[in-house]
Amino acid sequence: MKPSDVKPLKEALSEYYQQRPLSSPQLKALLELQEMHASAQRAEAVATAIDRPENNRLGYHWQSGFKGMFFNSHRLSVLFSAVTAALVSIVILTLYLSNELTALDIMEEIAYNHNQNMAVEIRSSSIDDIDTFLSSLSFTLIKSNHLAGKSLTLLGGRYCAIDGKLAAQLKFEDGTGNKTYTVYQVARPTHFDSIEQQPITNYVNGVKVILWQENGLLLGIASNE
Amino acid sequence: MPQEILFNEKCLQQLFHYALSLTSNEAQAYDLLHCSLEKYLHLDKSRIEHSEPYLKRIMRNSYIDNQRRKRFEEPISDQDLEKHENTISLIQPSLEDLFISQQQVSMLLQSLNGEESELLYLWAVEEYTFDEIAKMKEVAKGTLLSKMHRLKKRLQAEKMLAQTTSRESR
Repeated sequence: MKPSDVKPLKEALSEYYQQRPLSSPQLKALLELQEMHASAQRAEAVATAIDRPENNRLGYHWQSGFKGMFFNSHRLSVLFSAVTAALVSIVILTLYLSNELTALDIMEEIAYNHNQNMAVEIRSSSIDDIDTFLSSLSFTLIKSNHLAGKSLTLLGGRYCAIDGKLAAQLKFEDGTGNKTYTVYQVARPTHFDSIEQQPITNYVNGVKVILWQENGLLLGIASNE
Repeated sequence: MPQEILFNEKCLQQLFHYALSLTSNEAQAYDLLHCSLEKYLHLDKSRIEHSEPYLKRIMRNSYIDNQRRKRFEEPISDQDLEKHENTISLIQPSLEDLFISQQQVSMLLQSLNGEESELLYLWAVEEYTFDEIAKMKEVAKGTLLSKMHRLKKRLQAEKMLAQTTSRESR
């Protein structure tokens, strides 16, 4: 060890960690996670407060002023509960759809790539060979467990882009050789951390697309149905 | 009323470094932090006094759950303890005298198990004393110092660390 290279252990360790901060997208995702949770909690707190009879002041006044009329406190309470439930449902549905739209965007990209029917850049039935050839990928290609049961023959692979990132497109054919499948592998986007743990299926422009997560990657398979 | 942000950017960076000290891998550290934060957010927080140490504990427990406990916490025999307890007073300050090349830090951390790496992180980056770390981890200070002593000897044997000559001459 050269004397000029060395530092006190404490200082070197501290410097090592300081040089490895969270990336901006990671930080943003963690802050958003907290904000989303706080919003959901607020909606729940509002719903609980309105459902409490002692807080239902509007119902109380309506009952005392219009006793025996159509709008009694019970009906108002039911009405408020229904409105609150509808509002909470809208918030949840909006959050769900915003996630679903992101997945749909990626599924559309996959369907587009599939329909392009581009020739493979490397022709091989070995995933390792293809992985070696596609050396610019930031991840290692995997043999997906989801495809293990299917009798598909790997034909080759090429680069493609998914969600603006460099991805791999692998081409397969079924046992009869009549049907072609394209499989996509890309580093999992950070906003996909908490969704799509289970495969989701959709049909885009006549292409059946299945999307799922596996070993830290986002995977998709497309076929013409 | 729920708080908007429980853990600000600075705090998240610190928690990430703690996760990194456990996993020695940046991607795994982020996954560990994200999962633990999700768990924490869904807890009833009325009984939690200090959010940051609590989240660290969740991270540590989650990490241990994902590892084989035997590999994480190497058991120390009674003989080992007895042997080292006698020399603890001489060992205690010696970590301060150790030197390392910055390029070797990554190699050093890769060679440690999760517990050793966590101890070094708490001591070097969060600047806890061994007394404080022992209380935090609910272990005897002697046990902790013994582990650090073994670690130091091992790393010196592997020529990852150098020690000042003044200390060596004692």
